[in-house]
Amino acid sequence: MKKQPSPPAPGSDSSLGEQPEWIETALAEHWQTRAWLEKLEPMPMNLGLKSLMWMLRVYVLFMITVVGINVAQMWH
Amino acid sequence: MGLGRIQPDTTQSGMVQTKEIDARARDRREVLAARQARRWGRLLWLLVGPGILVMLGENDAPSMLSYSATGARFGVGFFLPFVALTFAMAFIAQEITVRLGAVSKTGHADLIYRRFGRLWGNFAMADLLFTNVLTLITEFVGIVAGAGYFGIPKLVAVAGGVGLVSLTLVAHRYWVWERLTLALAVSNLIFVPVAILTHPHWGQVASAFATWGPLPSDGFGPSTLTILLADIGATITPWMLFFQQGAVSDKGLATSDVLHGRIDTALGAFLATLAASACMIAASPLFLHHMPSSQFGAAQFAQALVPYAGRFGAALFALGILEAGLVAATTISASSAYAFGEVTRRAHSLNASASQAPSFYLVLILVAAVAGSIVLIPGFPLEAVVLMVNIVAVLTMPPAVAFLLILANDREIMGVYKSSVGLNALGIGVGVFVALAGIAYAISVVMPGFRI
Repeated sequence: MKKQPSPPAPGSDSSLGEQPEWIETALAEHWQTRAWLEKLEPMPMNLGLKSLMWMLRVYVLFMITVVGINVAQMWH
Repeated sequence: MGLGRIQPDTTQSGMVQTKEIDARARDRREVLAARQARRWGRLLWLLVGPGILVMLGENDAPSMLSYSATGARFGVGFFLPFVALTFAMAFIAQEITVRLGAVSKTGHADLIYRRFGRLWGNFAMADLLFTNVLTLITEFVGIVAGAGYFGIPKLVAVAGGVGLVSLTLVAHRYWVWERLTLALAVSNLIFVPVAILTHPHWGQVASAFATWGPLPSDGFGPSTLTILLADIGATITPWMLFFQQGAVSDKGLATSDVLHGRIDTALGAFLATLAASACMIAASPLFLHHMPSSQFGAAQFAQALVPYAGRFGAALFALGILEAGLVAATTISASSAYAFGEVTRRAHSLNASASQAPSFYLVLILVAAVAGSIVLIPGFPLEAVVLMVNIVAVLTMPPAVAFLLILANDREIMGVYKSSVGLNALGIGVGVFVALAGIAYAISVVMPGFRI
């Protein structure tokens, strides 16, 4: 197994720009994830999931209407 | 977040070098060094932030006014443990954003668009934008009201609020911004000395937590349900999900940091519960002395507390509302800017400079400036917005919780960090509770005689 380079001491004067290998090590997980993320496709949504999402959307629209009614009631 | 989307400054050995990457690598180096040296206290200090910020940020101006109104209307009783329960529910929802952010290294809006497509992404963004703008307006109402107690003019208070949000421009690093905002956010605990100054009956406080009583004397009619819903909205809102996942990924948390992210969130929930309970206890003398507080704003609450908490205590109360507004204006503006950057695929990081991420900083400052300007419009119905903002936040939560739970169970994204059966049961419980509270509120509005 390849030996991981030791991190420079925190607070040391050495600039990270001069230690690209260490930056690669520090951010390896992040770059791998970014590369994976770019390939991520939309999830397949079955009928049940779509129905749930639409139901919740109708719920929000209905509730916003109720809030409007409540505000009107309080003003009168 | 934002890695690879910023124009490189230079290249060296085939690697992209930018200020953002440099800052992120420095932060990760510190974390790795602390972990290797087994300096657990230092590691916790490095990794806490997003959880405390989101929870104390949600103790914003309308939330603190809602807690004050609750204490003044019902005294010490049912609502004290109820608010602790809502923060426990907030923890359940926010813990998922920690895992999502640490695993996917991207924000909530980005994941929703990638996995659900543009239609559902746009719906989620519409909810976020609507609630964020409304909430930001109420933050400036709180800032103006809190500052007004000290004789600071409206225009100066709004300019100061927008100015504080604009300070984000000079931080140039997520870490610096986070620590400065944290220092301000911890001031939310100012409500604890205010509560102590009112000399509450501590036995009654302990009894309220132990027995969940006394219950509201007139049952759970429309006005009590409105306050109940406002208190739920004071702890669980859509912007919190977008902010914490954005902050977790911008901070650069890795999968090995999930435990510390959870501790950070739990610590935030505890501190926020403490501040919220203290605010409620501080206002409870108004209940005991039958003060009509239904139309009170921040300044009126502070003035009404003078006989019970003294001038100093009242001034602390006003300062607390001002601080709550300032912190939330900063975090909510950041959540809007993160979401905008994720949706438009533009650079969006507090580790980037203004020249690297111009649209991110423009949105961050613009939303705050627009909300502040609205507060200055003569005759704008600010009272109605303040009253309704927490309720609207609760009513837009069920779809947000659904997105959250589906993503948390998405094996392709989460892998081994997918939610367990127990966590799913708790998450579904939060979603059902929030939806049922909304339905009870709707019935009480449509049928005014309704009682639980």
